[in-house]
Amino acid sequence: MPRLSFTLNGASARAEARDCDTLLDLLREGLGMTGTKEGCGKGECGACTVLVDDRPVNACLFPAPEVEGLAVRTIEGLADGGLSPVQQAFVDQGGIQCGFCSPGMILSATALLERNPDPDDAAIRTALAGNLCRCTGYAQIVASVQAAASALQGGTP
Amino acid sequence: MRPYSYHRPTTLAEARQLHGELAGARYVAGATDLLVAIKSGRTEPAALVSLRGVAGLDRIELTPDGAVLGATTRIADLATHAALRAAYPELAQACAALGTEQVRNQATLGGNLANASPCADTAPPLLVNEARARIAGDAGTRELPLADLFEGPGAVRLAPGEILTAIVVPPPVEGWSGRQSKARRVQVDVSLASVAVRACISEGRCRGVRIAAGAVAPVPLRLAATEALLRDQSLSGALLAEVRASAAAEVRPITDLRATERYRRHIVGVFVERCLRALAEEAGCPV
Amino acid sequence: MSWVGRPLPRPDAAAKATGRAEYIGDLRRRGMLHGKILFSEHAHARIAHIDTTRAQRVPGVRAIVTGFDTPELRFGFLGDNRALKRDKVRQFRDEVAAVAATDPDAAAEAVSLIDVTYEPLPAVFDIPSAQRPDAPLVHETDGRGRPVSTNRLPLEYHHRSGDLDAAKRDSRWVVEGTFSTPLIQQSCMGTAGCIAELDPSGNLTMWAKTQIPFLAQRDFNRALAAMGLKGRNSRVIVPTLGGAFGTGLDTHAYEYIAILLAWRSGCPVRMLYTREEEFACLSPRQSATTRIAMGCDAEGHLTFREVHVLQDNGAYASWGATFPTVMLLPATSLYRVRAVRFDADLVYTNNTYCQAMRGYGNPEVTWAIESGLDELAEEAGIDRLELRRRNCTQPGDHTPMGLEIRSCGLAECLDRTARSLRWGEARPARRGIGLASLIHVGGSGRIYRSDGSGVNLRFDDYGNVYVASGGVEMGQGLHAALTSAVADSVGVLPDQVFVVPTDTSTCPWDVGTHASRGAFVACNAAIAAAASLRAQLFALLPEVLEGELKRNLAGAPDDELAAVLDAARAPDGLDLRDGVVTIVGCDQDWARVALGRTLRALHFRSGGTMLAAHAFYEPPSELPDWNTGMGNLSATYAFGTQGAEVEVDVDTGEVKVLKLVAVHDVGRVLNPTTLAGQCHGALAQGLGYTLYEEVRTHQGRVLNPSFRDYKIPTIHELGFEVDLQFVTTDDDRGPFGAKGVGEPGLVPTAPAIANAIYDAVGVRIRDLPITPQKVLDALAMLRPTGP
Repeated sequence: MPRLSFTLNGASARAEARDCDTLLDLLREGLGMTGTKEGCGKGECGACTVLVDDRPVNACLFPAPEVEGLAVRTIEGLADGGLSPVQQAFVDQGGIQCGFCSPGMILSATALLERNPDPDDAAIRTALAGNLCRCTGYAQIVASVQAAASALQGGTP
Repeated sequence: MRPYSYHRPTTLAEARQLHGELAGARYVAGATDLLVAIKSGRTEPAALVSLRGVAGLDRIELTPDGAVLGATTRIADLATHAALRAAYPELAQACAALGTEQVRNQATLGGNLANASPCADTAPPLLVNEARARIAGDAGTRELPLADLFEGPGAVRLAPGEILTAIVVPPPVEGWSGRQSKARRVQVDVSLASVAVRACISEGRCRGVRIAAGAVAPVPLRLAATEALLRDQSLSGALLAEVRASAAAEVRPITDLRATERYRRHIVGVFVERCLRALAEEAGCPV
Repeated sequence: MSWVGRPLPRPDAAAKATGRAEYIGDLRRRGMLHGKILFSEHAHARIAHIDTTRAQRVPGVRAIVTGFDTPELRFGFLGDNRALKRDKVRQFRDEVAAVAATDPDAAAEAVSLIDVTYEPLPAVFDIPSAQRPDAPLVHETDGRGRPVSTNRLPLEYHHRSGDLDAAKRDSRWVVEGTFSTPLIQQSCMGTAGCIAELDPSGNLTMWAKTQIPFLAQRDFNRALAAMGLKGRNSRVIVPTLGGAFGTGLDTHAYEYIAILLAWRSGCPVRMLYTREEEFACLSPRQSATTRIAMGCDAEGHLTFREVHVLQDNGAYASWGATFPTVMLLPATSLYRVRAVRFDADLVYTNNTYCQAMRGYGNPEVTWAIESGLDELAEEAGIDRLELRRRNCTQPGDHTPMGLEIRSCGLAECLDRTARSLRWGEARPARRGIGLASLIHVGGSGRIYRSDGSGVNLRFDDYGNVYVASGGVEMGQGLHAALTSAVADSVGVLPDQVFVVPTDTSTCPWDVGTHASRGAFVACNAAIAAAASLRAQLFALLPEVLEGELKRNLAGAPDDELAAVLDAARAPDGLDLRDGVVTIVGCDQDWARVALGRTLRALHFRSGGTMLAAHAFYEPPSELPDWNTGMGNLSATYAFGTQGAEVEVDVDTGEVKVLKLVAVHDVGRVLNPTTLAGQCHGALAQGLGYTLYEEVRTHQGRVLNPSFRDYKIPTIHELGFEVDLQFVTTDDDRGPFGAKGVGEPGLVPTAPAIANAIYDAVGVRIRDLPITPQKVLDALAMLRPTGP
């Protein structure tokens, strides 16, 4: 199996993957990192969202061999031990119910706030439209992103 | 799912050589459509030759002679490119309406077109700009009108081993502008029908117009008869009603899970009219 | 400090936010195999032969099972289903064989190499065909093997109350219509699955995606007995669930198949559905066709309601076949009505079989009633709101099916919704408003012999309380509610409350987390257990208090100590709040002792004691009479009204929701964050039901088994204003006054929107979902020259 070198959550990583594996297979099966969820395997639900070179992609449709030389960030790498401001906002604002969509949702929100620190409602909804949630009705997810934006800018959420 | 080998060439020549050597090989770029097809068992390639690492295929070049959009340019980059949006608003709108943020970050322009899905979102706005497909093959590079690239659902007129390398879009002409509309069930959806209109409207007259529609025929298509109704005509409510009926009659949609033939015809008519009204308003002569 | 009512984060939130929470697909067991099922390729066929020889040769395959080489494991509410089919298949998704292999790819490959010979049979795919006298029978015998002659389910749902003929005679205005709702899929983000592991003695451990761990234990024990492992026990563990919404209310064939594969292979076996399997092979919510007639007198008082429901049950019966018991709630008790006739017929077909989903029959019938009420109001020339006000259910009502209404905030829900919609104000063309209300069980819903729920509370040495509840956390916030309830009722800080994972070996019995009952029953049980725990603590404390206070005192006068100890020995002389023991009337600092210290003092002494308490809460309710539908099945009832403002695009047929209002009588707010989450989430499901969602089938085959073509709302579809309000009625049976709220939020959404559409453009859509095509067609009927 080809050996791949890439950056994983800020550290250099090496892993083996079959040619026909996806990045999701590599993370969950190869590396045992099960924080990234599989909701559909067809790029339709966003549960497997990870950041590749800071952009959200569906890991289930990302060929593992393409990860060579790129920087991958997953839910496991957002904070050292504690919670990132985005994770904290999702916890505080009720942005999490069953939690299955949460890792992907939080990564999409993180990428949004990195490129647009003060997103309006439309920008939030565009950025998160690829992350399906069946529990929350999204209201508290929007509130979580707004609270995180405000926390990251030094305000009080 | 049948296992496949995966290859990452860095030059066009290498890519074409690999494709020639490997039995059952397919080119892949963003993989957002192809991996779904493979996982669903609809296609079983033995090898994938990735174009992602091929140098020079992912550039957006805007020159006085027009735009050259590299085949592996990601949809997200087309959707957010300010100069491109100013020149070809209908293309940027179509890219922004394609899939999800995650898909747009991975999917490519070339992939969207070369898959030849009748509902490819980028096709109608490129057709109304009379874009050309640039293709690399045995005899070097050739170009053909994008409209001629599409043969049928999933079929393009590319010889074995040929690679779609770029889309060449003629420069925008002063006085022309564009609009597009996409029918969908929810925000993130495969197009049920889509329409792009590019027109030159001044003083209430339609000096020139090009109309294209997607997901309403085996291939994305121009609506020539409807265009003819409009050319050099004064825009009136009565003419727009005629145009609407003509567009609905000119498309050849089917009924499937997503929409009925009836609905598709109807919505194409509505969209053509609405795009024209918006362009007329933009030109300062609302109908 | 009261923790109930405060927006505490759910206790599992941080684990979920960091990806550490483990769902079925994340769990690994040593030596675990991956199971895969071969589903039928026919809607109705005899299984002539199954050949597994090619599949056996696939490297990595460890076990293959079919109905021909394993014991028959029957299951289902009527005992009509079998884990692996042997005689015939009755639906496309019927389980014919299964494989366990060392990796999922090998299992999938082996399944594709199993050769099955079928003899196709004539099939029935709609109710009229299934009801014909000469229709092919889906089941030739009932669950006990007795021959049957029709496809009708052996369940009778007939209710009569009041003098229907007289009520009809008194009706000045009458409307009637037929309203339908589609098959819809629960669409949990985490797909169905389980892990089955047998120990060497034949005891089973099952990690299950279930809402009924204790009924599942009973079902699995029966399966073990049928496998010759009589007397062996099942332990059901519920891991983090990626949503449930009713899908966990029954045990499933895939669970029994995992048990058979684990038994056959000697290894733990995981079964995990793909999204396509989830759509095509897990049971959706039943479709329903409701014929309704209703009337009112000249003053607008409701006289009668005649309701007839037809449901295509699919090929087998799940608990979902008891939907009509809940349909009776709105049919008889949504607003005051003098006389009611209700009948429901459930029919077997060769379509996919159906199961429960949030709301359990209520949205289907509320759709018909609340749409019909707007038509009745128009017919009678009475304002739609006024008609509802005039017939509003009130506290103290005894409804036609015998519901005893205790607290009821419906009148206020109606008024607040109307105010939020600016009722009566003029609005632009093609905009309209509508509203609809609901009644639902708010104090559990008795559909089983016991409707109880147990809670165990246990102190450790540090003042922490461990809560073991039989209720299931599936995302709705049960553990958040329990944390606040236990913190308040025991007298500790929320950080000192730990809700333990749901496990039948450590948690007390609960009938299941359904009927919006989780927080209602578990918190009531927790309150009772807390009272017992405090009583034990306060009874023993005087024995160690002197020593603890002396440690605090460091030289204070003895007479003051004696006075404090006297106060502590007085009846109700002790208190515990936020983890600190205090003595009533003594506010000296040294008279306060941390709970942990007192617990250690009680533990580490001669004849030491650990404190724990158990309570089992059985709601004061009645099992409805199956023949008449009569019975007060819940301890109390939830009410609410929802309103919608919409704009209809008459060119495209698209309905744009501008605003939704949801005003719910919740009794009392236990946790505003999780409560709002339940209501917003239900509203989004209600929106999907109204406008987008439908499982499409053709001759029994599901045509849209993916999110690509089964559309649930994205964050964009919820981009309008939602005005969510709570009416507090402090129910005397509710824990801290609270009622169940899990389901109500999606019950009246569809009629509220449909009524707004009618108000906007004058078309009434009677079948969900309300697609642009249906709106255009209806508009075309209005204006023959239109699109």
